This record gives sequence, structure tokens and C-alpha cells, in this order.
Amino acid sequence: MNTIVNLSRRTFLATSATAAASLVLGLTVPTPTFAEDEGEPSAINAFVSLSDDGTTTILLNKSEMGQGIFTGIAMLVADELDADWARVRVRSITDPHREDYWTPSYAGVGTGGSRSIRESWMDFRRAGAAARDMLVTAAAQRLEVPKDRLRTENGYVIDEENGIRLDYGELASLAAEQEPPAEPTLKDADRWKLIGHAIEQLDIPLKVNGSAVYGIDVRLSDMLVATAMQSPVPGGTVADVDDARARAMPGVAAIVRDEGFVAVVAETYWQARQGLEALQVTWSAPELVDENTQAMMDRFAAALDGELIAAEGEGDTAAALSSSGRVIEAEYQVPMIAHACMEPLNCTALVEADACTIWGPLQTPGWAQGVGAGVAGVPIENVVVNTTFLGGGFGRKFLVDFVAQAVLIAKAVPGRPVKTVWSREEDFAQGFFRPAALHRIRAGLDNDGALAVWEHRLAQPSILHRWLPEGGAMQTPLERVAAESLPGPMLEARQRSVKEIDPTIPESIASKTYYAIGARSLKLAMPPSSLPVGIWRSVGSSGNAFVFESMVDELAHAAGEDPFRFRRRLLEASPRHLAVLDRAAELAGWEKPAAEGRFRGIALDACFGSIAAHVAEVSVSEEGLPRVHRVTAVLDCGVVVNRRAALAQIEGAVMQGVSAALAEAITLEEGRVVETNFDRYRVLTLAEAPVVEAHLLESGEAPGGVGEPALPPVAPAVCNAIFAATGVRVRSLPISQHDLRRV
Amino acid sequence: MVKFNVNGERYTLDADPDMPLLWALRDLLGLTGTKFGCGIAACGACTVHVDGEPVRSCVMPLAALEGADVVTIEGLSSDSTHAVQAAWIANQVPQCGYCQSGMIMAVAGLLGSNPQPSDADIDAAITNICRCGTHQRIRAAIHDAAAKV
Repeated sequence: MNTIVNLSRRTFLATSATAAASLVLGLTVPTPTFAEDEGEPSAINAFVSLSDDGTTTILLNKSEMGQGIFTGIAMLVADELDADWARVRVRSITDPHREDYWTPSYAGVGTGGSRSIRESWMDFRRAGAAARDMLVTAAAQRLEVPKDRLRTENGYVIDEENGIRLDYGELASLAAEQEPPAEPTLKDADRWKLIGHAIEQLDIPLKVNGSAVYGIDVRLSDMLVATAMQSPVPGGTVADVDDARARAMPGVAAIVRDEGFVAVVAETYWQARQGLEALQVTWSAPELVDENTQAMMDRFAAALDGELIAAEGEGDTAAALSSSGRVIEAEYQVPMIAHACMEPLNCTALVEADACTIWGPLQTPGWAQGVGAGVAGVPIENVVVNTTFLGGGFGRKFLVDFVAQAVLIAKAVPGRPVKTVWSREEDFAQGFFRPAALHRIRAGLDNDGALAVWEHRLAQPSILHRWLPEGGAMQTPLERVAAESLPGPMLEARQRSVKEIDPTIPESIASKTYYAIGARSLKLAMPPSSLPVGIWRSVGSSGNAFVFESMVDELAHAAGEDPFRFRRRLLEASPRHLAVLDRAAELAGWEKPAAEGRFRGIALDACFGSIAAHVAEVSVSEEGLPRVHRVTAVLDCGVVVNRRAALAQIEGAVMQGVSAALAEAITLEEGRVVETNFDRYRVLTLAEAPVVEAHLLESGEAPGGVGEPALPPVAPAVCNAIFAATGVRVRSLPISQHDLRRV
Repeated sequence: MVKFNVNGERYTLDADPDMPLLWALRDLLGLTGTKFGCGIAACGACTVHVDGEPVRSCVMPLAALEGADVVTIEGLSSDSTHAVQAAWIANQVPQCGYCQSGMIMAVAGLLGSNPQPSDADIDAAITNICRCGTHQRIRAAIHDAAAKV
């Protein structure tokens, strides 16, 4: 059976020094196997290691947070390698500073932006193909026959003429000595045995019996557990701490005070938690505080009235507006929302004289490694980073504030590993939320009902400027530590991509050239944010598509046209997008009447290299309570690697999109987050979950993103259906704040 | 001193009687399959069985467990062959998987008292939170497991 190499309990109970050296070991179900039980491994290249027992280990530079990337990468490598899938194991890398593992756009190791497949699928395939070539070369040497007489299949090199089959394991050490081919030959698509099929996830067996190890499950001998608090008004600093009571409490080993947090280190989480609650901490307020959510939105409105940055423009919008037959004006708002990963933030660190070891649920091991080096004051190559399974990521675990905190705490207890675990309340209060945004749009139709002009103004705080060392006064103390510890190449890559404008802000508004729009302009304000903001699944597109596609629906109704057919006209010159829209409408039965009391809405968006269109079917009760019954979701992500994973990602993105649209919002009172646990931050339950009919439209184009692109069209499809049901136009989220009784 | 059984083994714990069962399982017994999600019994990630009933262990103090029989995800079956676990694999339910220990324990508890739950029964009983959006696979897997129990 396949093996996920997982942090094993046996490792945890080893001494810390041993643990640092052996790191990730195997754990299979039902029979655990461990790295030390394997045969002799030979590293063929950065991604492939073969053991003389025939096991193929595929090294992973991407983090598994439920998107199925472990399985996806393994499929890409194993297919080109002609490996025996049943003998494939996977293992996370621990040396992200090694350039072979970098994602080009980050110049480092990180998982985000739905990039893993679309940016690196050829690298994984080449690694497999190169290893295959080296095995064939080795076999040709061993058998003294020309290479072209040999073929490979299912973990064997085969010499048909002489009836000889050599197991890859027998050839492993000889293959490792071969020169890698300059340009390995890749398979044509018609010879793929894994790619494009529906393959079961390698990690699922571990996730039904409690044996999958997440960051929070890390256990090491001699380990302490810490929990911490930052300023309840985010970004504040510690002014004074009275820790007399906490110090006297059972199990408490240390109190750690830093610029932006106080932590209690104890034998168990419960003791640390009790200790933390016994602290009396006084905080200094940060430079910018929004008293409440309205005060924040008022600042955004003032910013929109001020000087704006031109992000995009084509044609003369002023002239087009004045000559337009019908002009619609609308203001839309997007709330802050939380990632609320089911696994609260946590990270384990061990700081020694000249080394640092980190274990955690990390989306950016490359950045975590820089933080380990910067905070512990050791060379980056002396920082070992163990990436565990992530209990949800959604962008929150791309940031490394929690890693910086864990290393700062561990530094205060040198030589002992310390696991820092956040409470759920802290996880919410110190979130890096999807930013709130304020949009003002004026759009005009010409006399034929064509979209003649679109003028868009948008106020939203920058996310990406916060990631730079010069990110400004609004960074929290931990954010500053993290930004200042960015490894050089990652910093340079960020500086290249972030100029005056944070490029995530206009996503799904700018460059929307697939829609036929006469004149267009987009102008931005980037007001500072009083709260930390970050990347939330599908980033700018998650809010922007709600606004854009709701407004398109408004225009369709103003033009007196069916919203599906109105979009069809906008997409006349964009056949690929039109095909996705048409498929969604066809599968949802758009042209047929919906069931009694049910109403439909449609929306389309393109982001992260893919195109998605959804039809939502909604009812609204007489009391004004909405219910999303069904979402028909179509994704064109080009070549599909694992059909099973892609469909699951569509389902998940739609559910998360429905959850966010219906009831999710982070609000402020007295500068503090109001929703600090799941009793106040309402997420979708089974009872509210719609049926998701997920479909892949296989265009055969280059692979696009899968994890994110199915999310943005959800909110507008649902809100457009609500308009169809009630005549109420939802121009701000969440939907739960609106009175939906029929107007 | 609290004496109770976990997955068929007897334990005597000398620990703070206010310590929730969740943290005793995770930090004292090393049974990390039971997850911390919220600490206020709102998400269900920490669900275990106490005397056969599903319970949210993050708010269950050790003091209340004298003599109790506790079953965690690690003890549901020795080889992942419990009908609910099998249905979870067959339906490829988990994504990140973090909530699934609690989901599986909650569902195993439901099927114990109601072997053929309707969709409405499921809606009422399974209020655990999943953030990855595996909801419809969970529902399908519950019906699948119910058919085999």
C-alpha cells in the first residue's frame, strides 16, 4: 500500500537531537513502517529517492492542507518514472533553502495561490522522467545492451528480447551515479497512467483513525507547551505584566515577555492556559485603532473621496458615461472574514547553540526557515523545518507570525523543544483577515443593451505591503519580526511583484478583458488597516467577484435581459469562458423553470489561471431566511491531474464560499474583534449545506489553479438568486445582515 | 486522582480535576487523534465516547469521569474497519482531515442510537464544524455506513 511519511510517535519519543536528525519518518496504516526499516536509499534527484527494496520515495516541497497535493505531486513524478504506484511513498522536505525546491514566483518554498500544479507540474514530471532515464542507463550498463532496447513499466526496466526484468530497487545505487539527462523525454498525454485519472488520496487512511500528525500533535521528549496572548487591540505592545500568581502555579516553567506578546510555558497546555489567565497584562495601544466597523468603513469612504491610484484604464469613461443610454450606480461592501482553520495556530521550536529546529503546519517552510535563522541567530542552513499536515490553511498559515512567536518562546528555554498552541480565542482575535473593501461603480448600457462603460473605484487596505520589511507602522510586532527575517531571494521576489499597488487588490476586476466592455477604468485607494489583513482563499477575487458579478446582474436586469444571456453577449469573443458559462447553465437546467419556490442565480469568474461558472438555486422563506439548495459548479482548470482531488476542491470551495456569503463577518468593537469563537463566528453546518454538483470542463489547456478558482463565483451566484427570489439586491455581505422579506 | 478506562485500558491520573478530558488524552496519554478546535464545545473536533455516548471532551472535566469508559478515535477499531471509518475511506471524505476524528466519533455515536438516520436526524445530530467543505461527502458516508451497520 502507499505510504505517507508522517511524523511518527516513535520519532517524538526519541531524544530531541535524534529527532532533529531523523525528522520525518514513515507511518503507515495498518502496519507502521519507518525510515530505518527501509532498504538502503539512493537519491536519484531532488524529488526521487529509490531504495534497494524497490520503494520509491517522492520528496515533496508543497504542504498538504487538504487540497490533495501530496497525491498530485506523487502522481506526476510516478507517472513519468513508470513507478509501481503501490510502492510509492511520499515525504516532506526539510531543507527549503535548497533552490531545487523553490517555486519560481516565490523564490522559495511555499504553497499558495493555487500554484503547485500550474507552476511546477513540469518540474515534477521532469524529475520523474529524468530518474527513469537514469534507471534505463543503469540497466543498459548492467545488461550490456543499448538503451533503446529497454523499456520501463510499473517499477521495472524490461529487456524484452532476453526476457529480463530488473526491479528499480536493484538498479537504484547504479542509477544514482548516472549523469541526469539534460532534457528528459516526457510522456505524451495518451500514455499517462495516473495523470488525468481519479486517484484515491494517499493521506486519507491516516485521517480516519487519528494517526495523521498535524502540527498540534507534535510530541517530543522533554517538550514543554506554551500558550500566549497578544494585545486584544491587535498591533498593541506589552506595557506591563504582573505574573506573580502565574509563576506560582503548578507546572509553569517560564513566563516569556516580548514586545508584542506574553507567553506561559508549562508542562501541559492546560497548565499553560491556566497560567495565562492568571496574568495581569497592561497593553499600549497601536498607532491606528478603529473604534468599530463603521468607523473603519467611514475611513475607507473618505479614502475613496481622496486621491486615487489609476490601476487600469481603457477608453474615455467620462465621455462614455455621459453618452450612455442607461447608467447604473451602486456601492458595494465586503466584510472582513476569518480563516478559522480547524487546527488552531501552533508551532514547535527547539533552539540550540548553533541550530534551530521547527515543526509546524506551515504553508511557507521557506519563510519559516528564515524566521528560525533570524530569531535564533543561526545560519539558515542550520535551521531544519519539519512540515506536518495542516489542519486547514486557506492562506492563514502562509504567514509566519506564529512561527516567529514559537521561536521567540523556545529561545527563552534553550535546549528544550517548546510547542506553542494558540487558543481559539487568540486564533480569531489575532487573525490576518480578508480585508474589508468598499466599491463604488458606475456602469452604462448603450441603446442596444451592450455594456458601454464600467467605472470602478475601490478602497481596500494592502495585504502584500505588510509582508515587506518596510511594511510600515501597521505591522504587528510579530509581523515585523517575520518580515525582517524573509530570506533574501524571497524578499527580492516580493519586491519585484509589489510596487505601488498590491497586485492582489484588483484581481477579478482588472484585466477582465474576456467581457466585452466599451470604456473601463479602475482606481484604487489603499487606506491603512487597523487590523492585520492577509490572504484568504482566492484573495482579491473572493470579494471582487461578488461585487463585479452582482453588478453585471444588476445591468442585465436594467437591460431587461436574462442574466445568462446577457453574459453570453459579453463573452462573444471569449469562447473558452463562454463554454464554461454554457455548461453551467446547461447542467443546472437554466432554460427550464426551477421548482416551485426556488430561484436561480448565475455568475462567472476567472482567476488563478482557471475559469469557473456557477448556478445557485435558492429559496427564501416568508420570514426572509435564505436557503441555498444546490450549486452547480463548473471549473475549467485545463489539464486535470487528479480528477478526484479537483472535484473535491470544487465542492470544498463552494461550501466555503456559501459559508462566507451567508453569515461570516469579523466586526470590531472598541478596536477589538467581536467574533472570537465559533459561537459568534457562524460557519456552515451540515444542516445548511447545499448539494454541490461539481463538474470539470476539460479544455486540455495548460493546467490552471484548482484550490481557489471555484470560490469567487459562489457569493454572486447566491446573491443573484436571492434577487430573483425577492427583489432584494444584496450589496454587502454577509447575507444574514439583510432583511430578505420580498419587496 | 481519577480512575477511568480509555480504549479498554485502565488509567489512574493524578491531575487537576478541572483539566478537560481533551487535554488529558492529548497531553498526558499521548492520544492526539482527538483534536482541539474551540474549547467551548462549539465545533465538535474533540468528540469522544464516554460510556457509549458522544461527548465534547474539551468541556468535560476529569472530575466527572470517575469509573467512566472512554473511547477515542484510536480505539474505535484496531484497523480502521469500523463501518464509519470504512465509509469515510470509500467516500474519500477528508480533506485537511482535522475535524474528521470528531465527525467520525459523532457519527458512530449517532448510528449507535439511531442506525438508520434520516437527513433531518443527521442535520440535528451532527453539528460538528468542517471548514474544508466536506459536508456532502459526510452525509453520503453516513448513509453508506448506516446501510452496512
